[in-house]
Amino acid sequence: MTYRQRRALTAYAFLSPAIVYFLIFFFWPIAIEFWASFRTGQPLIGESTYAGFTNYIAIVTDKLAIKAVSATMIYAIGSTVFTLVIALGLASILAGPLKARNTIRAILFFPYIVSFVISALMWKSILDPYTGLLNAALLKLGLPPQYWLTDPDAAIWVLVAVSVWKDIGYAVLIYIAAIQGIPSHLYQAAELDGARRFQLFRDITLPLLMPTTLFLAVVIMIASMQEMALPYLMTGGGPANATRLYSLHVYETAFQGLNIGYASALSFAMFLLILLITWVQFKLLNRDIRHV
Amino acid sequence: MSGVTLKKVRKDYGSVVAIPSLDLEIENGEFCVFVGPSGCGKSTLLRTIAGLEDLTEGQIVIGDQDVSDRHPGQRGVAMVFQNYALYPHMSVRQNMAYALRLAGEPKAEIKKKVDRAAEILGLEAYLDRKPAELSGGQRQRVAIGRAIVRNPKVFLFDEPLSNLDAELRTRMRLELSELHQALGTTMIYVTHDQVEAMTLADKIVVLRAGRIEQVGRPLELYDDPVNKFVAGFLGSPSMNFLPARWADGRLVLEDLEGATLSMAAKAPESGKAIVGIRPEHLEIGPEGAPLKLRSVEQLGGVTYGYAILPSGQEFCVDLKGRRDIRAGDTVTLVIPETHALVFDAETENRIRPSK
Repeated sequence: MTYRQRRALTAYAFLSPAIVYFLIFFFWPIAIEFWASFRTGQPLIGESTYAGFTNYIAIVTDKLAIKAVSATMIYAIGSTVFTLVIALGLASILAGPLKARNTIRAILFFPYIVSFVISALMWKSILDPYTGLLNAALLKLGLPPQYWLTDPDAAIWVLVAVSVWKDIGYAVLIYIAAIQGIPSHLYQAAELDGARRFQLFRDITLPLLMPTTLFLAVVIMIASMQEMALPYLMTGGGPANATRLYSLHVYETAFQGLNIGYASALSFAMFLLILLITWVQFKLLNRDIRHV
Repeated sequence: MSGVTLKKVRKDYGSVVAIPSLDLEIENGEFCVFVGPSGCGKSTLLRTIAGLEDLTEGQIVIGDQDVSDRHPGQRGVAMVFQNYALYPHMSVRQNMAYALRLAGEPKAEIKKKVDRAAEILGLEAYLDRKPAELSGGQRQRVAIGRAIVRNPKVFLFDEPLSNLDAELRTRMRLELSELHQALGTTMIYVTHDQVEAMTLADKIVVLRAGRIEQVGRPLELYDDPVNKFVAGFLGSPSMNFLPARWADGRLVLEDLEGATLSMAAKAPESGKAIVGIRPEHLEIGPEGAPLKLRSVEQLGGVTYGYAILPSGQEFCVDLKGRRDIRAGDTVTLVIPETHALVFDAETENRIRPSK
């Protein structure tokens, strides 16, 4: 065996546990799901027959699925855009010489380490129209109480807000690290070129943060597209299916409706949609930035 | 074009005084080089002139305008950084055009100026490339081009050649010199490389611990330094320093087996002095002080011999290109009195012969 072959073999030996793990727990379920999406009856749990593209065609006429896609898009885009914009603003402030910056960073990061179930239940309690803290505060201020989670127009945005609250610390942390990685001499050169604060942000900070923005946009968007815990725990998908996010729809179709073949098709369609959205994000946000 | 005047300039970082108080006059069109060892305050001084550091006290005048409190972009200065500071996300053209774009100049005018600068610096073929796609020398040219297009009153260079290899550094040094001649603009240049200082400068400012040690034309400083620090800093290899004592109106060099030099000057109270002599001023004769060479450097045109003196001092002698001398050989040295400089052993200030 040559030296090169021995090196390659050693590398594969070290990689094999990870490869096996991914094959069993990621690629195998995807393959099974893909197979099931072309079956009707009870694939995976019972008898089934080949159905061709019937399950996929059914998605187009499934009003509930289309509503779920639209709610998921609002939730995912809303969460991603608001998280990125607010995180960028906060990181720009917190990356500077602010006295209490470490305390503020810790406070912002705290929601990220709290369990999603606890967060969801805490917010559900705060937003309760009759016993919640928020409406109590509104009443104290002489304002009318709001039906945060029972108003079909408001509920999805409340979920977006909770999602932003939960993820903001992570995004701020990543942005702060990226901002601090921008060489200070670039700002100095731009100042000498006549740039003021706003121009420094627009022409130096923002473009040089594009790789970070792309990373965060992709990660948050994918996580939001797959979100299920928040509507499941806070609204159960209501009111009037306004917060029935796609994953919740898939879950209920599969495990309550026991329509495994159709749920697999729904799931695979979402996989393709996420792939498409990620590709679009790369096209829009990817920049070739190599520091010299 | 404008000169630069620094009046009682002081720069503190908290309780640390980087520049205690400094006055300096740089003439219009002059190429002025700040030299000194690391931490002497030369870059701080340059950055203070640029406006990148706030002045603690004093005044900076460019032309006839006090710019002490002005934003860096409004001082009429352009700076070339040690690491180029090119915007990595912009093309060469965008890098060079950025200041003009911020100033709101018409697009056609920007294009004309960038094209002109690119032509001067030979960058026409690279205008659409990003900085990462350029070599070190090309990046350096872009940084200079970015400064040129602004047509500044004063160019500031912060060790601009230190990231380049030796060959490119020599070429860029010549190019900078030619650029200065072509533009005639005031240039302030920071370096710790005394070869750059000697070859580029109209005026050298030698700094130590934020204070000016000496200001003058390169050869003035080389031939007539005011103290041991300046004498030792300029010249490569450095000047040799020998401990000496005054005896009967002559200086006795214990390190060279008691060789003596006549010195018509008032001896300091301690009676101790330091004699400075440059390697190229030493002569090898049939008679003189013997010196055993520890190593010999054959550089082709030049040959240097090195020795360690009894006092532990390193000693260098220019062997005038001789190739027959080897490490371990003993040469006999003659110290020409006309080239020997004498310094007070305590203050390290120059002791000049009485007239």
